[in-house]
Parts: sequence; C-alpha cells; structure tokens
Amino acid sequence: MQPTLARKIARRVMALALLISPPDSREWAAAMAAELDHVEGSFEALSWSIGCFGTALKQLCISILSPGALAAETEGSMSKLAKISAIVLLIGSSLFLFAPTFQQGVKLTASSWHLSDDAWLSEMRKLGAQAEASHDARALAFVAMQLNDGGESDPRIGAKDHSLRDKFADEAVQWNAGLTWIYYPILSRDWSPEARDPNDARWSARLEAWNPNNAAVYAREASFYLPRGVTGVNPQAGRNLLANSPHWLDVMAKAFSATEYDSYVSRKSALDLKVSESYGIYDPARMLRGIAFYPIFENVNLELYAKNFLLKSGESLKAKGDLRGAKEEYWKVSHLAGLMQLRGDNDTESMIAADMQLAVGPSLEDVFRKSGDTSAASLVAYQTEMAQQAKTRVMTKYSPAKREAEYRPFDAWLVQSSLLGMALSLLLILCSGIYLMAKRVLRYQRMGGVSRLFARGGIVATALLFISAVVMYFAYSPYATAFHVYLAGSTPRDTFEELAKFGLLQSLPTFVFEWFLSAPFKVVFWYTVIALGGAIIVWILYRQISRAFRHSAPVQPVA
Amino acid sequence: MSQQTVALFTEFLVQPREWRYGYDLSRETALKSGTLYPILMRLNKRGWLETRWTAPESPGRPPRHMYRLTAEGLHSAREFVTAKTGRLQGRRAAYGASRV
Repeated sequence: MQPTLARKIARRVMALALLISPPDSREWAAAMAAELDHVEGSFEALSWSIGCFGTALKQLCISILSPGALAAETEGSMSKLAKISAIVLLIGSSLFLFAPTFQQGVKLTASSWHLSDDAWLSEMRKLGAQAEASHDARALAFVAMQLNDGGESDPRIGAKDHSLRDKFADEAVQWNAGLTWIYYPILSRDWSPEARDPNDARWSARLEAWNPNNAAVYAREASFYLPRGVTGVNPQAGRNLLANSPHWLDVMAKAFSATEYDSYVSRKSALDLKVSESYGIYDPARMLRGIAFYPIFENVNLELYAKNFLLKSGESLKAKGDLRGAKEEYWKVSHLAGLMQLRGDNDTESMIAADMQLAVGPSLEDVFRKSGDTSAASLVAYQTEMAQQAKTRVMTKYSPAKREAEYRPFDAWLVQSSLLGMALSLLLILCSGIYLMAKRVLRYQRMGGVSRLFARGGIVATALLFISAVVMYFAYSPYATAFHVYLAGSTPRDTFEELAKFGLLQSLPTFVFEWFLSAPFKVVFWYTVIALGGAIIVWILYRQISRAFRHSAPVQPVA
Repeated sequence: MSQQTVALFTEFLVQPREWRYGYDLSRETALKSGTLYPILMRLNKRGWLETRWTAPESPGRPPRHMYRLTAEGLHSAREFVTAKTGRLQGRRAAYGASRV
C-alpha cells in the first residue's frame, strides 16, 4: 500500500527526531521510531511523530543546558530546565535595555500614559526655573509656549499658569530680542475678543515694531476688531458693519500692503527641536500638536477684506475703465496669496493662499489682458493653475487611506500592547519572586497548588516579558527611524510628516481611556459582567454534574 | 506523582508481568507519545521499569522496544495507585455524606 502524505511527513519528522536526539537518549528515540509503523491511521502517525520530536527536542535542550542532567534525571528535572529557561529569558529581555531603539520606544510609549498635562506642565516649570538660572533665553521661550499650549488643551491650567508664562516670555525676549516672535503664537491662543490676552496691546506693539512688514501680525490682530455677527447677516449688511470698523479696516489694509509673510511656524519648529535636544526632552506627539494646532490667524478676515473691499473695488474701477486702479486692487490680493504660498509653512496657509489666488486670478488676468500686458496675464494664469494644484495636493494628502497608512494603527497597537505585556509580566515575576522568597525564608517546603501556580506563572511571565520586548523592539523600529528623520529634519513640512506618525501611537491611551468613559462602553461593560457571571454559573453547574457522574463510576481494579 | 504517571501505573498493573509495547500503552492510557515516553524514561532511570528489544515481527521492520515494571516498580505503582484510589473513595464518601 502506498504511504499517504501524512505518513511520509511523519517519517521525515521521526528521522529528524532521531537526528537531534542526544547520545544518552538515542535508544529511546529508536524505540519511538520503531512504533511508528504500528500506529494506525496516517494522522495519528503524524501526531505520534510530532510528540516524539518534542521529546527528542526536550532531551536535546536538557543535554545542552545542563550536561549530565540526563543521567541524573528525575521528575524534578523539568522544573530545573524551566528555571534555567526563565533565567535565560530574563537575561535576554534585559539585553534589550541596552538598545537605544528599545529605550526610546519604552520611554515614549510610557509617557503617553500620562492622561493629563499635569506631569508635562510640572516638568516645564522645572525647566523654566533651570533656564532662568542659566539665562537660557531659548529654553525660556520654549517653556512659555509649552505652558501656553497646555492652556489650550485645558483652559483652567492655562489660566493658572499665565503669570509664569508671561514672566518667562518677557525674560526670553529681554535676553534675546530675536525671540520676539514668540508673542505671536502665545497671543494667537484664542481669537475671541472676550479672551483677548491682557498683554495683547503691549506684545502686539513689540511684534509690529520688531517685524513691521509682516502681514501675519496684522491679520492676527484683525481678529479682535472683527465686528460681531458679521458672517451671520446678509452680504450688504456685513459689508456695512465692516466699513464702520475703522480699527479692523486699518489693520487689514496693513496686512494687504505688507511685503513679508511669516507666521513663525518654522522658527517654533526649529526652537522645539533645539531645546528638546539640549535638554533631552522628547515628546513627538506634543511637538506634533504644537505644529498641527499652530494658531495662524482667523482666515475669515482675509476673505472678508478681499471679497468686500479689494475685489469689489477692483470690479468697480474696471467698470469705470480704470484698469490701472483695478490692477492695483487685485494685485494686493494676489501678492499676499503669493507670499503666503511661498513663505507659509503649513497646509492651512497653503489652502488659504490657494483660495485667495483662485478668487482673484481670473479678474487679474483679464485686467492684464485688457491692458495689453499678455506676459503678465500668462504669469497670473500660471499662478492660478499652481494654486489649484497646491489645493488638490493638500486635499489628497488628507485622504483617509493616506492618513491611515501614515498613522500605522497596527504598529501603534503592537507597541502599546507590548508595553502592557511587559508591565504585566514584570508584575507577575515580582509577585512570584516575593512569594517563592517568602516560602524559602519560612522554610515551607510543600509544593501545593498555589506554589505551583506562582512558580509556573513566574516562568510563563519571563517568556511573556521576552516576547513583549521583542515585539516592542521591532514594532517601534519604524517610529525610531521617523524620529531620527525628525531630529535631522530641516523644514517644518518634513518634521510634520515624521511627527504625524507618532500621532496615533501616543494618543492611543487617551482614545482608549475616553472610550472607557463613553456611554457605549458602559453598556458593553455591564453586558460583559452579565455574560461572565452567567458563564461562571454554567461552569460551576457543569463541574458539579461531572463530579457526580465521576463518583458514580466504578473504581479501576488494582492488581 | 502526576496523573499521567498514575494512569500508566494503573495500565501496567492490569497485567503486571506482561511485556508491553509503547504504542499499546499509549492507546490504552490515551497518553500522547510526547507525554508517554518522558514518563517511561524517568521510570527506567529510577529502576522501576525494565526494557528489552524484540525481534521484528516481519522482515524489513525494525525491532520493537518493550516495557515491564520491575519488582520495585510494581511495589511503588501499587502504592501510588492505591493512594490515588483511596483519595477518590474518600472524596466519594464525603460527597455522598454531604448529599444525605
């Protein structure tokens, strides 16, 4: 009869078992192999050979780890082997501590379990005090902005820390005037007139004096002068409201006449990186938030001024035949759009600039053509086309599929799970260690169920620890590469792309925590309690019934 | 002593002076080869189990290993199995009493 595939595999496995068997137990391997031909059924034969292979492998491990143990093997030898394995696994896990990737992974993942900003703010206060003592203006500026960012996420904390933030910001600028720009992100924390910072007038004046040709500074200031309800009324009423707001008109005119544009995102990103490196403070997700939620200004101001005044005025002048005047009005909008597209550092700025160019482009091109300046008209057409492309690029970039690929949800779960696995196994090892140590001190020799549970639990925990450490190392590796690129990054766009990868990894605990507190979780939780309770009752009943049957069975005869 | 070892002793005690094949023991005790052979090895090391090779039943087949408990092994096996049975009977009595 032709042997089946399963039986052929079984023979191969058995041959392998014979091959790996140490000399001491080769006779036993041969004995197991001799039985294979008598095993009925192909799959039973395969199962038989796998069992034999496992036995041979166990003998091989014993002979390697403990030479001579085979000769003196007793029933306790497996426990000795298990102890040796546990020690090897513990040493193996400890070796990961020397790997920088592993260290960084554990540190960053563990830091994401601080579910409130308190620990970070406390660290920032300490850093502020240290920077003050060493007259480190950059670090002070960093701290001032971080205390401000903390305020963004929790207004109570922000309000509590304002005095310290103001002090640090002023000291930083006093020691290094080149840091005056830090007032911009600090003041942009809230655009509503009610939340206007008490320092706004003083700091705005300093910003304007320091960089008088920056459109971003005026656009930010305009938010506080924007009349209430202007977007909720009909266009004519809205225009009337704006026309009667001299402060708003004044700062918007300055914004559209400015020759520069800088929202200081690049400076903030570079400062974050520099100070993080100097003081060894690495929190990619926080740095990411600092850039992703960077307050530029309320862009509705630009849109309202361009649409209600510059474009309208241009149309009116064109209708009157004043092409030169119309061109000047349109050009202001196109010029600011070009500046923002060129100097802006983030996607929001790119989108605002693209919208402005798309709004003014056709009108400006038309005026140039009517003036006979076809080269300029072609150039404007080209700019408009570029604006359309920039807008499409940004919109494609934020497609859900692309975001998911960048956020690496599976890797994030693996990294977070491995940290949990390590924490759990360490706890188990600690408990087992304490229990077994206490047992030894008290000279309690009996190996009962609890002792066996702790001993086995401790050994299993070392395996879990090792597996978790391996998973942490390999799952975190792509993040380590991203972090390396971030540290070497030159532009905020580059750094943002790399930091974005940490977004999900470091915000997972918060998501999970919020989900636990959510209403659907509460429902799921109570259903789980009911289901578990039911399962326990069924299990107890099953045990009782099966016991009753077992006790009724006849006792096996003893020869 | 593990339950599997006691099960193997019980099987040996059914025909204490008979030589048994490994596969037969596995089938009767429902122990897998990976469990059965380590136990047989341990019993052999303790001197509780004797082994011998038998000639092949048909040409071209390898000789087979056979097993039987030694006198010391038989004595120990009886002790362990009796202790186990006693515990079971004790539990049954306690269970019966509690039901009364």
